[in-house]
Amino acid sequence: MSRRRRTLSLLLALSALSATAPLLGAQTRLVVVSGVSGEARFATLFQQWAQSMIDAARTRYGVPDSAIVWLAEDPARAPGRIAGRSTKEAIGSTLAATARRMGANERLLLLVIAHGTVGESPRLALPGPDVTPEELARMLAPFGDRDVGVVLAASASGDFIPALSAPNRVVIAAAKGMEGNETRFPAHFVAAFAKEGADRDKDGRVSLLEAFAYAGAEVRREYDDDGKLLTEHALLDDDGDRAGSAPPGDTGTDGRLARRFVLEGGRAAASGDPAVVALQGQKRELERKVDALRARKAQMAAAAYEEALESLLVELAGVNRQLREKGGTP
Amino acid sequence: MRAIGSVLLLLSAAAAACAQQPSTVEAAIAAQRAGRYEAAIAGLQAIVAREPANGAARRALVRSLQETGKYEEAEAIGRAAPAGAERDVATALGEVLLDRGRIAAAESAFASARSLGASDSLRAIVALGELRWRRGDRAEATRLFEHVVDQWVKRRSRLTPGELLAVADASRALGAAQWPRFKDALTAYDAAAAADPRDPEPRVRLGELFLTKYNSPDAQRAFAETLERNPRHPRALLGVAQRRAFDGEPGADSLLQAALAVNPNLVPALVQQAESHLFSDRAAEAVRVAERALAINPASSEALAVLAAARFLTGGEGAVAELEPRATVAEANASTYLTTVADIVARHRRYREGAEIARRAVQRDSSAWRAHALLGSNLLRLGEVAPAREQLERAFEGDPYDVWTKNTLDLLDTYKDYAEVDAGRVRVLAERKEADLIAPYVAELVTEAWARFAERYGWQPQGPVRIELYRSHADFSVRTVGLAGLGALGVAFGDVLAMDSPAARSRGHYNWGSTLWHELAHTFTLGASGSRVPRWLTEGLSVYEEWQARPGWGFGISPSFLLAYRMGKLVPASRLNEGFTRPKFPEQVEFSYVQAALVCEMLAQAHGPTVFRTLLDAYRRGRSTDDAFREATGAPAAALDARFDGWMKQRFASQLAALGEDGRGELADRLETGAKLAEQGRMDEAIAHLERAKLLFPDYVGPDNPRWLLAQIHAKRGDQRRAAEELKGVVDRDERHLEAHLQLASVLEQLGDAAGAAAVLDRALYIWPYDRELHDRLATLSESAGAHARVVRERRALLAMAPPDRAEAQYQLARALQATGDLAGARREVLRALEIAPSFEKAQELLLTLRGGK
Repeated sequence: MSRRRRTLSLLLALSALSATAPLLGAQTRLVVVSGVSGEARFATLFQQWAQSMIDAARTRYGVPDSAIVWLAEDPARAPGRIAGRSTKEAIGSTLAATARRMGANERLLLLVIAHGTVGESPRLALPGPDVTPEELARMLAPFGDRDVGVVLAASASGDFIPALSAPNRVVIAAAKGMEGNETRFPAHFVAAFAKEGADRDKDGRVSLLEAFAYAGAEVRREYDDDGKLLTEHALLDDDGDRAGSAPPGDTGTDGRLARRFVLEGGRAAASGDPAVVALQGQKRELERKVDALRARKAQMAAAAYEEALESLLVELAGVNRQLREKGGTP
Repeated sequence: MRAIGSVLLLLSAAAAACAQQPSTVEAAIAAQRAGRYEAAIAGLQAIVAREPANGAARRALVRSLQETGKYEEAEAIGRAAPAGAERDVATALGEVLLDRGRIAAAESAFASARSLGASDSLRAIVALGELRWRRGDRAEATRLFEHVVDQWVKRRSRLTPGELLAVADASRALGAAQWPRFKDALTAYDAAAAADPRDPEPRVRLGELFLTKYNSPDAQRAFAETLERNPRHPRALLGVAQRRAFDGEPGADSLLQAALAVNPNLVPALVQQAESHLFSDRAAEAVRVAERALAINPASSEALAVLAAARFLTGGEGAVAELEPRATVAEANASTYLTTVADIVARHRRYREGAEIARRAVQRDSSAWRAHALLGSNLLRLGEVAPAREQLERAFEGDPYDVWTKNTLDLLDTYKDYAEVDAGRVRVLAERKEADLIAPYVAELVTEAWARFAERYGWQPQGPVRIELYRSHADFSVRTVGLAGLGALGVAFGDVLAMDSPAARSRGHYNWGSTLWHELAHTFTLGASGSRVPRWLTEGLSVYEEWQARPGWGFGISPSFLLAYRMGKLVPASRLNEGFTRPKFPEQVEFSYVQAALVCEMLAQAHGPTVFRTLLDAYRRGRSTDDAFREATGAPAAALDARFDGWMKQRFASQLAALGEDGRGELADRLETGAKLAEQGRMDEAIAHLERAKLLFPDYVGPDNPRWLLAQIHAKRGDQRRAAEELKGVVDRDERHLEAHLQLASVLEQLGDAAGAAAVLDRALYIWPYDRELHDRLATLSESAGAHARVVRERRALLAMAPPDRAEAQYQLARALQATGDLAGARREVLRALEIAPSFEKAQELLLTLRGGK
């Protein structure tokens, strides 16, 4: 291997490490907006999806009620839980208030469940006037360079990406701009947080990237099972280049922020036991080595890779076991 | 049926019109074009008698007589033309002589028409060109065709309709070497039809051209337009018959009869009839009809070919070479003869021989595109994909209008998305997205079936069997017949099987396991008989084997089948091939499968299962069906009829009684009443009726299946045991009832029968293998039942389905392998899990355990 290639591999390994490490301890604020349903079936579905997402955030990921806001078409459907009607004005004021209240180590996840409109001027259907990409972008402006996730669980929502794309922002659209049919993406995206199966790296958290990948795979499987051509393609942008990827690959620039963006209730208490702290340090070092090894896989002989991988994984498993025995968090 | 009815009505209308005799040539030609041949002939005879030098009348008379098969009379009229009228009839006379196979005399007549400057001399020049072409003088033939086509360039607007037709024929002939000329031919045929809309000839020839390209919809349109004007046109009737036979639609026979009723000496119709006999396992009749055709036209390549094929298929291995010299009279290189024999032989499942004969045809004539295509498609049937593609590419280069070839090449292009999985005795070709999922199940089922069939038939394939699974039914159809629209689910080309993948059909509408079992049975019965087993017997044995494999697999005995039996609509057992090759009503093919399987069941009961080995061996030795049955049962095949009838009456006595005369007997009444009462919530009364329905027709399946209704009632009442009994009754009779399988598994699980539940889910995978939850349930149940090997299979299946949580799936597989004692495999898989998710706690613990850490 040439010197130049070795240097490149190292850089890749480092970037993989920084891209995979979650932002521990950062609390997520969740704003859920369910728009105009149009018919009873969608009213029920929109409510189910919103409710599931909120329940998962509270019970599975420890996001406190105080950090969750739900705006819906008909607040009477869940009195006490829905904060207000999901009009454009209400969304704007809710986001403004959230931005004002957000601490330094907090982030926002905005989930919009709605019908999108295909056409020259994309819109999401809300009670009262619909919202356009530019209007939504203005509402998000107060968040500045804080981490923000925007998930548009709506048909034809892909055309919102150019306007919403920004640094430190993950934008997920359920379907491309011309894909105006009912989308199956929202059900699976919500299920990624509400059920088992989406946590690919088994770190106990579901990142936006994992949820995106899970929902995309499930949508493809459903279409395949039904023998239908896939007519919806979800997109993700988080590199601020105003263009979504479907799905983001390991080599592209989209996906790095989404990989770290998880739902969390707040910082876990740090251990005061020096032995635990040391073990946690060892663990992080071993994880870094595994990441680095994986990045070199293509350049290594299979047997050598397997051997090195097994050695590191055994060591890592041993450290984790010790950590658990000492009552620390692996 | 409706279409045939209307043809018959039109025929009688035309016959009634015969009484009016036309008095002018124009009126007579109009009568001929309308199918009033007798009137046309009578009128023209009167005119010719009155005016012997009237060339137009004489020519029209020759053509009317020719179209109705009165060739001798036509020749006599042509030859009797006085000097002035000679040139007017020369071409028509040549065509009549050609129909009789008198090639030299025909050529002389065409030459005469040309030299005398006949008004239809272009038509004569085309005919001369065709004769030269067949003789091998292609340069001169091409020059003649080009001369005719030049007239289109030079004086297009002044060409008569007849001349336009000649230009079309010349373009078509040139298409053999220069395919774009086919397009010119279509344009010219259209121009000819537009110039004289009442002349059927351009449309008929257009239809015939489309048929040679396997373009059945366009061919049908052209023939139908002709038959609208002349419902008795023999060649149009023949064209539709050929189209129907090709598409496997009923009614081909009646149309063929209608064509022969108008022209009993129409050689192509006799050839078609001979082929039909051959496909109905009536080789002697096929030979008789082919010889009759040859008596009319001794030089007919097609008639010689069907005769050679009939002799070859009944043991005359040397027949093809013996008759070949006769074929060279009409065509020096005999490539049409060889191509036709190859086609017929291959359609009798003798693919290797078909390929060999097609290879001889291309060796004789490298531009025999159809032969290249046949060689390619037969090599493909033998699983030799690369050489097959090479031949198909050559065929396509020469004739891109051959739909079969084009479709097959398009399919081969998609093979890049397929994976070939080597699984012991089978090689599975499936789309990449499902190859790893489906191949283990295919291999498992084939292993079971292989052992059973090898013992029963005393034969087994030498090499692995290739099994191709297509997620698109249209692709499977193209693989099989070159076109979309085939009704079958699977096909066996000997050691190569092709079938619908489970994904090709909607969930709950297809049992791919029984289909695979059925097709693999063909591999053995074809192999054991040297591919000589008649269609009905190999189909019957395949369905019979399905019945033996699993309860509920294969076609069931339905009330409509038994009603058809009682109404005498089934073909006699001794002529069962006709039920497949010449169906008279839409359900007849399916009924014939069931009937053939019942004949097999009867034979097995009476003579033991070794009877099949004896029968197949007799066929392998070239015995006729009669002789084979004498050897195996001591009686000729004809004795089957009475025997089968008696057996059926006994076997289905109670069911036949329950059906009533018209199917509205007690069974229908009980089913209807039971369902109605259940709907009203009067469950006890409903149960009584449904139980009675069960007794009357134990194998009844369908949407109003009494067992299914009873299961729902019992489940609702919380009586899980009785619900399980009824559900078991459903799954043991209905191979595709996915819901019943899933429900039964749940009920058995609730009753604590994990092994039973797992067994039912295992069978459900043959209906729908794409349900992750089903695989997961089966893995869990199998684990409880201690069936570790099955757990491994299921965990592998889940992994092959690209689960979102791959690390978990890999970990579960590692656990399953650990349980079977495969610790190396378990370690490999747990490392895969941890490679994805290094902090995966359960996997870390398993790794440490496997390493002996604790």
